[in-house]
Amino acid sequence: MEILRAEHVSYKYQSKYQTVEAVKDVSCAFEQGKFYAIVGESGSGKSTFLSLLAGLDQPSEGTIYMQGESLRDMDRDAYRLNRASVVYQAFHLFPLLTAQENVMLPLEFKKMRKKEAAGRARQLLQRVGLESRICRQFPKMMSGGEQQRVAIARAVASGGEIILADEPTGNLDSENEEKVVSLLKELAHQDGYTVIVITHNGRVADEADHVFRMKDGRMEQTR
Amino acid sequence: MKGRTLLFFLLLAFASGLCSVGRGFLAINQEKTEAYEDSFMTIGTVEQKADSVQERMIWDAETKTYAIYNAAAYDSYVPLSVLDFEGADYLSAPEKRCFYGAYMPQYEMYGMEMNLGVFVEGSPIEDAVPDHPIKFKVTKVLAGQWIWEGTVINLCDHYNPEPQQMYADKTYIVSLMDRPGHESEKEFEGDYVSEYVLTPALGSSQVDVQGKKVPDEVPEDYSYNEVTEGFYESPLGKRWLNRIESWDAIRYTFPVTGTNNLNLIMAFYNGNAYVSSGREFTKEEYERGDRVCIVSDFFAEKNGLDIGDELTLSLQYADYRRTPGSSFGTNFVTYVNPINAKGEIYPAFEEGNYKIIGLYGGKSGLGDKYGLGHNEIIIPSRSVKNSDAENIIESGPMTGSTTSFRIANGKIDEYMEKWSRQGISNVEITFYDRGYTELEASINNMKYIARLLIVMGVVLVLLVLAYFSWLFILKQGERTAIERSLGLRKRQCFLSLFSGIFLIILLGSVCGCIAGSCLSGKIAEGIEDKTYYDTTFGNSAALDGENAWEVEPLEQAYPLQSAMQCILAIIAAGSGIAAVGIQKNLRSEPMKMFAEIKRG
Repeated sequence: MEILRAEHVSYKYQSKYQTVEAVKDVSCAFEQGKFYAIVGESGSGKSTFLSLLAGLDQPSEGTIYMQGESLRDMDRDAYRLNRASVVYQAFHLFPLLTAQENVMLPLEFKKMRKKEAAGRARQLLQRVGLESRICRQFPKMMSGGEQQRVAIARAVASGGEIILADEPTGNLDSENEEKVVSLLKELAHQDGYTVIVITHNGRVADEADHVFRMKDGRMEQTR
Repeated sequence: MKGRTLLFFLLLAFASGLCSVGRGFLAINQEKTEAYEDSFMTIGTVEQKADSVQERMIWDAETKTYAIYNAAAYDSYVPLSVLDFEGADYLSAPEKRCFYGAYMPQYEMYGMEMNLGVFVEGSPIEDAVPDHPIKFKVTKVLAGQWIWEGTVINLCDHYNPEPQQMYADKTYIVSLMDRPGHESEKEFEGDYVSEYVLTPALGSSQVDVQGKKVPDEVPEDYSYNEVTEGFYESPLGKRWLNRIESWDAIRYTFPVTGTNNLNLIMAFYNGNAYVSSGREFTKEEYERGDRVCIVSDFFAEKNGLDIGDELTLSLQYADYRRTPGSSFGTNFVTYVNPINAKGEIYPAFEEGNYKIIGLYGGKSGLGDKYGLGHNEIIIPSRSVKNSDAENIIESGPMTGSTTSFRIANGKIDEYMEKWSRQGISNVEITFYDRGYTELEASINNMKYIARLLIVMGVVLVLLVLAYFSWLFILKQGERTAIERSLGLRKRQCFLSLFSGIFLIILLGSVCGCIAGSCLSGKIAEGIEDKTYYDTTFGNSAALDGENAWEVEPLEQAYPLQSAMQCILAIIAAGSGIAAVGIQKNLRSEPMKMFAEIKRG
């Protein structure tokens, strides 16, 4: 089932000296329960496209639809809170919060009671394969792989349908890379999430159900 | 983070404290300046310098020589209008006060021992020239005290270098004064012997408004006449009778001074006299010239008068040379001749009922020209509606005791600078400010310190706020970006960051400012426990003797108000800086912000 669609999406911005067209007339569709990879060189417009899919920015032209509804017409903060979550290469966990507290954040944003949120966070951390001792650890005390899995648990916590990951394995060694990719695949195939991963790592792309390539802002589906 | 938060709190509290101390000081000093404006008062007195010194030779019959005295001489009197120049900015315009002689026979001038001289008829025991004390038998007492008919007195024309022969077979009317004459003859066979000196009595001293003497046929030094048949029907004889009548009138003549500001009279200014009950004149009473008066508590008590009672003042003459202080003492009255150039007693030029609104106590009648005269009555100048031009017994230059004005405190230098531009060299102005100049200097020093503390505090507050908003807000861009990417709305992100910062700013500024306020209050209390300032005629000398002007410490409520102002200002500044910083964070989209953070 198609969950997300981009139609003739372009994105321009004004740099210091010129207008840059980072995304050029991109059209594509993403289905539920699939693992997608978008590959391309640095500066090809991958991350910009991801931020458009996440509703963090608006396309200059074209439209992105979430289950047929234009993101332009949606409350994009609510969209991110309830339907699409982002995972970053640098994890971006709150350093002063424990793993559990980091996962609890989106739940608290949704006004879930603290106790309930804590229980759900613990479940999610288990779900991403972290031991219960990790719950009380601060990000600095964890490995990169563990941090990324906490970040994925936080993304899952929002309870949406889409996980958007920007180079999620970029800072990981091969062992942790494998674990994270495997987790993302599970989330797509077992839990029904639509997982869209930005990467220029061939191994990650190989694991994807579908691969899109971006070059100079344009996108083509390669698989 | 906790450490940084604590540091932020402490630094902000310290900086707020500095601001608060400074602001508190400034408020205290501002309050002081305003409060002292009423306590302190700057008045200037004006004195015309003599154009020359004139030698006056007075014959002494005992030594047969002239005693020489120096007297100030004036070519002309400088008018009061010279003080009316641009930029003078008087609070009370200059006034040259005269005093009026008010005839009030219904009241007694208690407490005065008057030596007004005597008027008698009599003849020398034998023909003699009174160039020394001659025996003179009194045959009739016309006016005077302590002298009786039949008494033989020692009479001398002591101050006349060319006394005329007096004959035993003639009767004379003489004006005499019991005063020191021949030292060698004061004691005679063990008894004190008075010497009665012939004293000028008949000539009028009347002057016109320009100060020129009104022509009078009778010379001023006229002191006796031969009494012949029908003498008292002659113009000269009638003048003698008028003069004798005036002798009694003087006993019931009270000094009345008109003013536009009670404090322009030095006795009130320096506290030697003060309104002990009732009230002072109001501004409106001065302006309208209401018939109200302030009398001495002694006079009121002795004559059964009280506040609310009325006095009927009949103003007979105006004296522009002397002051009541020098003319009406408790044991003397300066000899005046209330006879005009026509030889008549001055007719009243102004009559009216004056309501007593206040009684004054303090020193009076001590013979000090700056002091009050005994039983002196004070009225608003403008209450005298009629001209005194025909009733001026003497005129004189502006003097420190008769001419004064008031300017704003702290404006002496400015006034003198403008005055010096007028180029008038023969008028001297002396200022009295009860030590305000010195106090102002110390207040200004404190104000300077206060401003310095405020500037330091403000700079420090801004630096602390800027540093910590960079630390807590701009450096927390990642937090904002994460929250935004997790779906938190901009408003929620704003509140999440702002509430924390605001709480620290609130606590820091409240603690610091209240501590600073208490400190400034304590310091101010210590400084101004009690201060004394001079009220003597010299300017600005601080002392704690009997001439000290005591300045009561002020209530210290205002530092709290200042603290509140500081708190509000710091919260406003802190909130503004925080809001700008947070908005800056929120303007960047999370992905861009992460990219910026990644770039470093």
